[in-house]
Amino acid sequence: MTGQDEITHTANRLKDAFGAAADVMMTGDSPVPTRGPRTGHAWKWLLPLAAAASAVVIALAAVLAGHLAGSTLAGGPFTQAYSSNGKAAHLVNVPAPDPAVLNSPGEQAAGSRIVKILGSAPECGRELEGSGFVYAPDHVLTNAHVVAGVTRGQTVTTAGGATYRARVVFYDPRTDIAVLDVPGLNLAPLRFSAQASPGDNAVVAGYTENSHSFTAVAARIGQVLRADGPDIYGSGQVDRQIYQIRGAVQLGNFGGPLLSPGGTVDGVVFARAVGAPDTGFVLTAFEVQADAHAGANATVPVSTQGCTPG
Amino acid sequence: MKPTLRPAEDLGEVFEAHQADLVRLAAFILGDRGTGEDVVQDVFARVHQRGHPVDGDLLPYLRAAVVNSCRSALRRRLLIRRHAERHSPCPPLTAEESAMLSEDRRQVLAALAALPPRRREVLVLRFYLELSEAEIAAMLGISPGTVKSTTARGLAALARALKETS
Repeated sequence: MTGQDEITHTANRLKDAFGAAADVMMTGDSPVPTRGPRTGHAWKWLLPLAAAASAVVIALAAVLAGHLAGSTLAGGPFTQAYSSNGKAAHLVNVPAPDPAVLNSPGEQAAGSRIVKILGSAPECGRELEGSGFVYAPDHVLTNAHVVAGVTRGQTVTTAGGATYRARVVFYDPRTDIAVLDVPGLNLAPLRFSAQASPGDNAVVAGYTENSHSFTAVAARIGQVLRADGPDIYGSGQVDRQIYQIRGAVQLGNFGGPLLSPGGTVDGVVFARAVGAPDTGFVLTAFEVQADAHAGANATVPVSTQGCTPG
Repeated sequence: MKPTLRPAEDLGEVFEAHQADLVRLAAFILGDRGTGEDVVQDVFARVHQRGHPVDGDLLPYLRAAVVNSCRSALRRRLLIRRHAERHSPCPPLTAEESAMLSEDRRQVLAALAALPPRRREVLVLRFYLELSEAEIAAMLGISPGTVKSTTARGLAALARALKETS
């Protein structure tokens, strides 16, 4: 790109980010969308329980309500509260992660089943990278946005440094899950955990950007939430169950697992918060179950559609 | 869309119509949602008490008042920061809200938040409110040439920051 093109591109990205951010920002007391259909879920968790439609929603709302009631507004790196008129909107306040979790035997055993994922999307001039994990024989689970638009050089590399060619055999841009078939990978699959609870220890495991060395970082489950948002292409509405976690998620971690102390998979790390380096977001094991099942025996390559916007 | 105001009795309606947008404006400029809400609250309170100096469309006046109050808030924050070791501003988006954005948009907003206040302010007015250079110049009391150069430098800094992170 020339300098001027790059500036124009940056201006367009900025406009796009403003539009999207304004769409999801719920301000004041008004739950009425002011721009487009992609307005938030945020307010509805604060409505009285009577508004809740299902048992799950009621349970989550109760957790959140209890959480808000029992918390203080003290500052700190993980306090995601804002207060105006004495009103708290969101809050996660769990103790700092316990680094001892990194030494549990479960973690040690799990590390070798986590891989680095690389691929090229020449149509949009991008090299994509992320993390993933073996969850079925020769099948690796990752985020769809880690392989979106990739048409060349899709590989996975193990912690030991062995690189294998891989093919995307399942692709779900709504949930943000993809499955890679990696013949000959031959690593024992990781298992999924049951539901984790706020306060539970966990580990963000994967490969950070531009690095082939495996990293594991202690984390702690903050909340279980349901988040409405667009799919990875910015369209439609997807309702996802997620964990909000306290733990440093780096670029490159996306698609990797959040591991329980026992070395099972609590969920798939898929995002981190703006301006809060200690906050990450994880699709729960429950949320990815259907996709994981659908891709576990798939061997026919599928399209990775196109690159994500931006 | 833009209400024509006669006396101040219509302020409630204006509040309904524009409060959320003005909070977004302030939150983007300040990089801090909580302070943004306070700023907008104060501006409305002031207009309610004292009335306002314009006939007709109140929105440009409110926007200018919000931008000015954001500046004062930033100055105050600098002072406070000098006196207090710990400072934890709330990000413009809550964690749940930012979970709904794609990673590249989060990166753009994070890079924006790291810019110096004046550049951030001009970029927000230019690309969020989509005001013209002349309108921004009038609002901030600077020359259109300065708006242009500040915009260009701001975008270049943003492009550099994004290159480093992506």
